[in-house]
Amino acid sequence: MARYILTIVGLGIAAYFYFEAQGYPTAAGQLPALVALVVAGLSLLISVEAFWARRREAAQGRAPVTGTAQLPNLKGVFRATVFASMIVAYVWSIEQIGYLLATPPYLLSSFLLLRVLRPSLAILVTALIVAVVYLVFVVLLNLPLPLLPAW
Amino acid sequence: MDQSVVLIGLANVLSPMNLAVIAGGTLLGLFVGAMPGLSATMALALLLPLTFSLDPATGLSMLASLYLAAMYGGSIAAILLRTPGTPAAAATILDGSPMAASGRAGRALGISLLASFTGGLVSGIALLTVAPLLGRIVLNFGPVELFALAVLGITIIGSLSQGSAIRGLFAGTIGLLLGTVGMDPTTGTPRFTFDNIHLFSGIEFTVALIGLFSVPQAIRLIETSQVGQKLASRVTDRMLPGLRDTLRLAPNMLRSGVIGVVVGLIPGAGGDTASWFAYNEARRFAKDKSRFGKGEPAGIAAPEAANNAVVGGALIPTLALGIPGSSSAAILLGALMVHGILPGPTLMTDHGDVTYTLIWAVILANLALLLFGLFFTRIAVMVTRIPDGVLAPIIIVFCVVGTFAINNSLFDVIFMLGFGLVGYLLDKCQVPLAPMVIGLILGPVLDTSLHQSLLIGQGSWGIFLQSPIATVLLLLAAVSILQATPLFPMLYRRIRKRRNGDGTDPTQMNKTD
Amino acid sequence: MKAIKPLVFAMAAVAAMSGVAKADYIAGESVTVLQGFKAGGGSDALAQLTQPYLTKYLGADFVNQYIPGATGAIAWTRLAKQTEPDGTTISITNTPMLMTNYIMNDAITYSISELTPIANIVTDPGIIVVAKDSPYKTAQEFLDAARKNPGTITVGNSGVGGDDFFSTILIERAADLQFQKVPFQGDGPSWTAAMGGKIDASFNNLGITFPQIQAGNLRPLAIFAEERVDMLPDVPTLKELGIDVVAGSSRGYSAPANIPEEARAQLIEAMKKMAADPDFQKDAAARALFINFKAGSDYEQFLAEQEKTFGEVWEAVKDDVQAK
Repeated sequence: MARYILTIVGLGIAAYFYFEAQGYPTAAGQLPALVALVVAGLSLLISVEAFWARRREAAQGRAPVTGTAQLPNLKGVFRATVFASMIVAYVWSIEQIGYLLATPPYLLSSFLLLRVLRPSLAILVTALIVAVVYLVFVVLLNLPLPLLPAW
Repeated sequence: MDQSVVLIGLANVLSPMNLAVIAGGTLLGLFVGAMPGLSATMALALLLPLTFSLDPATGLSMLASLYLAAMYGGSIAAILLRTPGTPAAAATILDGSPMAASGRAGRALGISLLASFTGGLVSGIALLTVAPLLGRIVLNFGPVELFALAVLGITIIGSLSQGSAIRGLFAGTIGLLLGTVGMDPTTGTPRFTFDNIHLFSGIEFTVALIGLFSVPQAIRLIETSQVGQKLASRVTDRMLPGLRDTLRLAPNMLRSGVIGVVVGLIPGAGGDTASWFAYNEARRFAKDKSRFGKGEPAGIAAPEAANNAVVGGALIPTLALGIPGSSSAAILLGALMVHGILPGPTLMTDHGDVTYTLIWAVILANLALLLFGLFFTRIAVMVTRIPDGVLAPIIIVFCVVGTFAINNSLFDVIFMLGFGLVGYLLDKCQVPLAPMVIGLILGPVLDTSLHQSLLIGQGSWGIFLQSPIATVLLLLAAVSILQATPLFPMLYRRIRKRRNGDGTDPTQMNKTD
Repeated sequence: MKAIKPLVFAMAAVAAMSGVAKADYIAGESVTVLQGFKAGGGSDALAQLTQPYLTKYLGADFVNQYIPGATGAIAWTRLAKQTEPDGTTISITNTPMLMTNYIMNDAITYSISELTPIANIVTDPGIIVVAKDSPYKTAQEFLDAARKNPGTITVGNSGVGGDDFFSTILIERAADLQFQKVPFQGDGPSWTAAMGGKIDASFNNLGITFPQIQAGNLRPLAIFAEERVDMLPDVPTLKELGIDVVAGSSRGYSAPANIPEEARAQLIEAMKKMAADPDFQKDAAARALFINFKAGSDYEQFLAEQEKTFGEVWEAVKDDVQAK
């Protein structure tokens, strides 16, 4: 199943690049257009390969190895999704409220929500990491991180 | 070569200040390399302003030792955390991580350290002895030859696709496609940029790498944190390989070192591709190719020797001609320029003292690497005792800072996240990411050099055959492709059958793929 | 009690004198310099050369912020549109990139009208270099060959939109010639290719190629300056050859539009003092940087002229360059 989605995505990407490239001057568009065609071809081959592999395995009476036959680790996937969304929120919040105000909440909430550290330890680790980053990057190396909110 | 300048350089480098700086640079490089999200180029760019107040040789020694140490440090993360600490360590994951997963992390790290030391030493010696000679080679690599080299690099994609060649090629060509994003060098048109000026210079390859490898790995740590197992909680096995192993790996390490020097030498080839070339050659020359990707020592030694050798290799044209061999070498050159030392042949003559101090610093940095590397690695292994759930957010924090620090751009951070999502999904679909990295590096090189070559050749494709170097490289590429197809085993079978005279099929005895 | 008054006066006098001796920048204690290119590059070289002197004459510290990307457009867009015009943030501006960025690209929205040019510091004149074993020993031979074989002599430049690209076009138009232009990613790869014989010639810049010229690896044919340069007295200018083109790449400082007049005046004054400082001149010469100081409105006029020239040239050639 995943393979077929991959094919569609691949074809989509290839189509976008191919048609965009048509609008560019020849020298600029040649290579992208060519490579896009190759991507399209390979995308189709992915599905073909998956299809044949499954048929071959079915014919031999074996359980299909390709695809999603295994029982998904639901709890893990849920935690991963939560974690991923928190990363997105974190990066978004850096732009809104600055690095110094965004990082501690991110770290704290990660540690606490995913229940990996006791609250006291979570605060300690958070403070440590933020301090290290601040001292090394901002103070020592003059990195122009947007520390505080723009307003 | 002026003997006295060489000796002056040696005397300079042995001063307490310079030694301290080499030690400090090495430690810093180890840390920067080992930390996912922080890259050597970023660290060099950030430290450059700090070196302005130091005297040139000292400042350069610090930068050079950092660069060298980071090339080993990257493998620590690659082996223990399955994510490259620096772009050059991406190839080390292929065999380093499986070896660590099977409980032999110490051995993997030891091989990596030894190989890094060897590769660095090879390039340091090359730098000391034949730099001007090798510098001349750089001039023979014009757009035509560079194109042929890029094509050769792309044929590696096929061999890196463990499992499915089709999926590997798919990733590789998408990488190529993404490499064309940005302003086209021939016409100046911005391609696929959605009118966002942050994409005008193309996709920053380090950002993509951090996104593709480190972010999904952090997410995966969370996903499997209660199910999975630590990669290594303690280095129980002996780190440095014994004499027999060392001798067995020696040809590989030396060959990879040479590859690293050559690839680093050629400006525009991208030092990060050296580890892939070396990995490919190690596979080609190995008797049992099937062990690659499962924890084969040669698969760790090759890329690590190569990426450390790149440091010296990239410095050769930088010092001999004033042409930086890699973007990191360009920063070192910048350090020289700021002190009023102009890049060019005068570096070896008028400013020979600074230059040779630097060269000796590179050689000494290798020793520092060996010493500090052992000690640092043991500390770094303790990192694996930290619960995955704590490590993952910390990795993300460093990825964010490290990505921002590359171009001081928050857009890059957002971009990194995008790649993170893509990397995670692709990994779920069992699409290998290594080929995409190669495509991203080589895509722009291929595109630019192709157009330049055609302009030079007035539109004729025959220009590629007019250059002996290019022809040889293209033939090598063709051979690589053919080797991957059934054609070679078929021919091999035919030839052997005729020689054996009987009906036995020799290819059945030792399957190569 | 009575002794305090003269004491206070004395202290005030001392304070006033030290205030006069070190001119304090009215806008603040520290100036941020946005750089549109990576650390260690040509812009950085200028920054590192000038900033110690500027700190002395202006009385403020300088902090460099590197925001590379889109050939400077990201930094300059930020300067023009997102920076407080209070005089605490300026940028190093290079021509022709400053103008060609938005001339060639509609997506780039800043323009020089949104900037306050402070001063141009250096200009690196254009130069034609060939390999040391090239068949062309003089500029005339080179130009004749180009005339006999239009479109076949390969010349390298530092990239589409760079100074070499435009000077090539200006020369082509002025002399009615046609070269085969090969773009490279910067001046470095361009002269490297020429030195290796991969292209016939490189249209480059003097400061960048001088070390190789001195070492004998590159042969200079002509220089795109008003008059011959002291460093290469035997190299003719294009004007002498009958081609009226003066071109090069210039670097200076600019601020966002509408900064306080007092700050602007102080910045210009500090730069003037720096340019007149003999130590500075010696320093610059040692780094092969040619001082071409244009202050305030001179710089503004220079930029406007360049914008016009490049705008016209681009209009004329863009259809060819971006042929479908």
